Amino acid sequence: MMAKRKISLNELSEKVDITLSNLSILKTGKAKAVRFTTLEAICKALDCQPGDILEFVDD
Amino acid sequence: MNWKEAWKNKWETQPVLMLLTIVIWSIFIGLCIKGGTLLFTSLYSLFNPEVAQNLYQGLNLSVAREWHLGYYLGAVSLLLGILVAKAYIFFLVILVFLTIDLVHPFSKEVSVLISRIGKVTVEVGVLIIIASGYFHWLSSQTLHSPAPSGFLGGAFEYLIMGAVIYAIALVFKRGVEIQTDNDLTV
Repeated sequence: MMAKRKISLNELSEKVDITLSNLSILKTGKAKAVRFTTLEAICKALDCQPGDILEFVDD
Repeated sequence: MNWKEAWKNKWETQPVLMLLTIVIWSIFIGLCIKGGTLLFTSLYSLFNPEVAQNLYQGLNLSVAREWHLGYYLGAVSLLLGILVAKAYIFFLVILVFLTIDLVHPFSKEVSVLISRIGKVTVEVGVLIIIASGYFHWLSSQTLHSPAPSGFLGGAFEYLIMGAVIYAIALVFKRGVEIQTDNDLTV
């Protein structure tokens, strides 16, 4: 989605006011949980739906 | 940040913790001095048996020394083992106070240290019980009480304290898990 919107991690970090390290944790799939406020901010910045950036993978 | 800056930062942000660390340091040094003195006098008593009359603060093992060198060394080893274990407890406490950060207190290193403190405390209690039984037997054999009361008190208290600390360590471990989840919550 970031590639589609042509936005880098740094730019996204500044837009949604989340640290680069936290965004990196999210991007690499290491996050244990996501706050709705964070999800809302990212979807707003990327102009997309949660389903566009979240995917269920069975362990 | 090097250790000097880290130390200075801790003094400014957590002065109570650092004051406690100094108190614990002094207890640790005291125990080391006690253990070192006992070790020195015991080794010296091997060459000069008179020293065994007062190894440390009235501890008189001269009769045991004359009766059987092996049992004498056993008694001294038990007492030294107890002192070393006690000193190790306080050393671990020092490490806890130096490692812990009140901003992020629940870390794996601190959890492991607290768990180890609990185990060593229980071990001290067990050692004291064994040593008490040994000295009781020694007294019955030599018909002389060596008066090691300063070394052999509080076995039950150490056992209870060890169990409580271990329980706290388990709670702390759960805290670490919750903190990790929190840190990985974006």
